[in-house]
Order: sequence, then structure tokens, then C-alpha cells
Amino acid sequence: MQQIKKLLYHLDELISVLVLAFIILLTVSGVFFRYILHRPIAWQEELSTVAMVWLVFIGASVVAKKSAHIRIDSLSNLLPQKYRKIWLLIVNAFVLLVLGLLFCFSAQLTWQTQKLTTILKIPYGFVYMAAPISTLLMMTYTARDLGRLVRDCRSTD
Amino acid sequence: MPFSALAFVVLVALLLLNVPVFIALIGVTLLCAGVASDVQATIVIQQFVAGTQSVPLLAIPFFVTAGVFMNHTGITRRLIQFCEACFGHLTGGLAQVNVVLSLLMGGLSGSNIADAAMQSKIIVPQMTQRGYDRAFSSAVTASSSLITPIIPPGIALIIFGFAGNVSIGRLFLAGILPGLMLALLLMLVVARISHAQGYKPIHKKLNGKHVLRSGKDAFLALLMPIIIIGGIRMGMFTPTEAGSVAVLYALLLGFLVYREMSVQSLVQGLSESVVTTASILIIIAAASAFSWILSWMRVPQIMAAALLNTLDTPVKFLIVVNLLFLFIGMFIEGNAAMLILVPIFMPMARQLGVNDVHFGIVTVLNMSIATVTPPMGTILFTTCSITRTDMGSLLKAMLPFYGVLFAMLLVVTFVPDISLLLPRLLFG
Repeated sequence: MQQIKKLLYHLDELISVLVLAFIILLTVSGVFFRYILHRPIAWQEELSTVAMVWLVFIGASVVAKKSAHIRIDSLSNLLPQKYRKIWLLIVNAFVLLVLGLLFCFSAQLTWQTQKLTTILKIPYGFVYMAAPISTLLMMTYTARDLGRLVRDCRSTD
Repeated sequence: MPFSALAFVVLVALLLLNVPVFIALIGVTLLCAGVASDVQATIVIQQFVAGTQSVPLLAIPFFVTAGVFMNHTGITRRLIQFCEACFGHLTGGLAQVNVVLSLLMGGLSGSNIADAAMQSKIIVPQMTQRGYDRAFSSAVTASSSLITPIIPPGIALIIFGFAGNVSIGRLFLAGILPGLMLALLLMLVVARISHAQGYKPIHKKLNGKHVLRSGKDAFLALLMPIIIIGGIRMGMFTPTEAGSVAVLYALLLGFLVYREMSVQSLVQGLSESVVTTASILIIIAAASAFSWILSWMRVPQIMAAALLNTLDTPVKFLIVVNLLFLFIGMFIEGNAAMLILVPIFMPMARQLGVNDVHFGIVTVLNMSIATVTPPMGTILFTTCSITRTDMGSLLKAMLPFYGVLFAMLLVVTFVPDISLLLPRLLFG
């Protein structure tokens, strides 16, 4: 049980690392096939851009897990410790709201899309699916940060 | 137009209030879609996802990964030793090594954040140990890291090429001379300050044997920029593919030549790269959705019509655009700002006869300077948080370097040949 939990917790890292390794291999072999064997792989670009979507969106959830998304904190750092926590609480609640909207719209898009990619006929639903999964994961991590902040605020009172 | 101005104000406010950059960008885009026009929210998501689906942008994860692997393969260490052997005898030797290392590392990785972080971790502690002022050491690190995005394979060059539809191969070549000049100017300033402060050299004399020995060690690493540029020039691979070749080359060096890499460090490196890549590219994806909604609201056309009347010569145009970009770059992260601004200003530049590639180098240098200016200075944050310098003393130590950076921006803006010489020579 513990192991499954651990695997699930690190699943997004695992997926994004594998996708990154896959794109690198795919592109290097693309050069090899075109320049050395003179037999270019026609579907290489299509597949690597699809993989790129998954890399970026699932990767963004890894970044959220580490609470490492780029933000400007120089202004809020000027606030005294206690107010800063309350401020971050409000900001995180706003982030959660935007992520919630993104989740709804991207889930809708994933569900609606009927299109297929040109060569490999990959359903666009699969391409877009990375977005609802990523936003859902980011929501759980933001909720986690929010919970920590609430606990912090309570304990300092 | 008033509404899109409001959108900009909301965006800057959200950014300053500590909302993550990509959330602020996509949030404002959704707001525009909801309020101003009848755009469906799902189309915004479509644009958001499509922002990552581009072959030129694929080069970013590749060059980031190559750069991360450099640190795991022992290439970085060899480059430091080589720099020390060559420049350690100068006054303020370690500070000079700091500058030259940025130049060499820039030829391998192309991310200024990665460069600033690496040098803050590795060189700054050595500098403070030898009696260098901490704020000065951090200022040298921050300002020299600006060399990386300008010289190939700079990530900012890739993003400009993508946003403005300009040849990335040409942009790569165009960045070389300005990058070298910037390095040289920074070295002069470092020399002056070091003389005044009495910072000692690392060793007394230039030792030819030492240079040769460390040069042999670093040779294979120094070959990489040549492979990248050469391969692109000979049509062996595209700039994107060059990135994947760079990763392969770093792995070959790490596993077969230097033998310092293990499977564990490979996985660790990949996971570091995922974090860096995703945090850059999710912002780019959100910025391209925002840029799309702006063009849907016809903001580029309206701005062009308003500006082209007054900015009727290239010189006026470049001055105003530089000031505007510097201002906007103070609030919006550089790469995101380029994705929003380049589609607006590129057509104007073309109409006024400003060369695409020249405009690219000016923009990239300008946006890089914005990363070391408050309040949104990603490089300042990175350096401060790692070297534990307070922002106030870092900014004071940065003053002479700001002088160099702005002088460089002026020169690059008004002497197009510095940027255009190499691309003309090699691409015709």
C-alpha cells in the first residue's frame, strides 16, 4: 500500500522524465534517419509535438508539487511575516480558482474534440487530455500549500 | 483599446501581487475571452495547449537538458579549471573567471537562470572565501549570466525566432559578436573594480603548460558550440535537432570520455531538466494564448496604426521600442514579454526596413537586461536567494554593470553590423 502510494505520488515525475527521454531519442534518431540513411521519418515532428504537450503540462504539475512556479515575491516579502502568510493564503485561493476554471474548460475541450492528427491519426482528445490531468494535479498541490498556510496561520495566533 | 489597456493593468497587478506568472497570464486571457468578446473558453485552452506544440520550442528542453548534463558530466569543472589557467593571473582573477565561464557555458546551455544559479553555487562561495565582497561577487555573476541568452544556443534567441518567424540559425550567428563584446566590456569593469579593491590574482604568472593541460581536458567541451553552429550551417540538422545532438554529445562525454556520469545522475539530470523546462514553457504557453487573444482583439493593428504615424524612421522606432521593452520587461518575465510584444512590433520593424535579425538581437539583449532590473528580475532573485545577499546591496554593486549593459544595448541598437556581420559572411 505504502509503495503504491509512493509510486502514485511520483507518477507525474516518472511520466515527464520518460517523455523527455523519449523526445530526445526520437529527435536524435530523426537526424540519423534523414542525414545518414536518407530515409526521413515523416511522423517524427507530429509525434514529438504531441509528446511536448505532455512534457510541459505534466512537468508543470511537478513544478507545482515543488511549489516552484516562477512568481514575483519581492513585493509581498515587504509585508510582516503574519500578514504575508494571510496574503499568500488569498493568492493561493485565487490560483485554485483559476486552475478550477482551466480544469473545467480543458476537460470540456478534451471531451468535445473529434479531430485526429494528420499522419498518425492520434485523437486530439488524447493531446488535450494532458491539460485536465495537469490542472487537477496542480489543484491538489495548491490545496496542499493552502492547508499548510492555514495551519501556519493558526499556530502563530 | 481601453479594455486591452485594462487587461495589461490587471496582468501587471496580478504579477506584482505574487500570483504565479503563468496563472496570471492565462487568467487574464480567460478574463478577456469572458468579458470583451464572445470567444469560447475552450478556444483559449486550445491556444494554451497549441503554445507548446511547436518544433522550434522543442529546442528549449533539449538545450536545458544539455546544460544540466554538463554539470553532471564534469564538463563544467573542466571549463572552470581551463578559465582559471587562462585568466587566474589577472587582478581579480576569480571574478574574471566568473565572466569567461558564462561565455563558455553559454555556448553549451543557453539559459541565463541556469548559468546564474550554477555560478552562484560554485564560484561565489570561492570568491567570498578569498575576500571578495559578497555583493560584488553576486553582481558579477548576475550581469555575466546575461551573455548566455545572446550567444548560441540562447533560449531567448529561439523564442524570438519562433515568435517573429525569423531564422534561428541566423539569430544564433548574429549573437556571437555582441556576446563576445559584452564579455570583454564586463571584464574591463571587473578589472577596474578589482584594482581599486585590491582583489588578488589566483596565481602569479600565466603558466603555458597549465593552460595546455587544462585546455586539452576542456577541448571536447569547447568543441560543442562549433558542432552546433557547424551542423546547422551545413544543413546536417535544424537548430531544434542540434539541441538533441548536444544532449547526445554531453552523454557521450559523460559516459565514455570523462566517465563521471552514472545512470542515477542521468535520471536526476532529466528530472532537473523537466522542472526547468516546464516552468519556462508553461509560461510561454500561457503567453501565447494571451498574445492570441490580443491579436483577436486587434491590439497589434491598433497599436501599429497609432505608433507608425509618429515613429516614421528606424532610429525613432528603435529608441521608442527599446524604452518600451525595458519598461515592460521590468514587470513581465522576459520570455513571456517577447511572445506578447514581438508579434506586435515585428511587422512595424519590417515596414520601416529594420533588419529582422538585428531587431532580434536588440530585443533579446533588451529583455535580458530586464532580468537584472527590479522589480521582476528573475536573475536577481536567483542570485540573491542562492548567495544570500540582500537585494539592496546587490543593486548597489550592480550600478557599474548597469552602465556597461546599457552602453552595450545602445551600441547593438545603432550599429546593426555587429549583429549582421557573421550571418552575412556565413549565410550570404
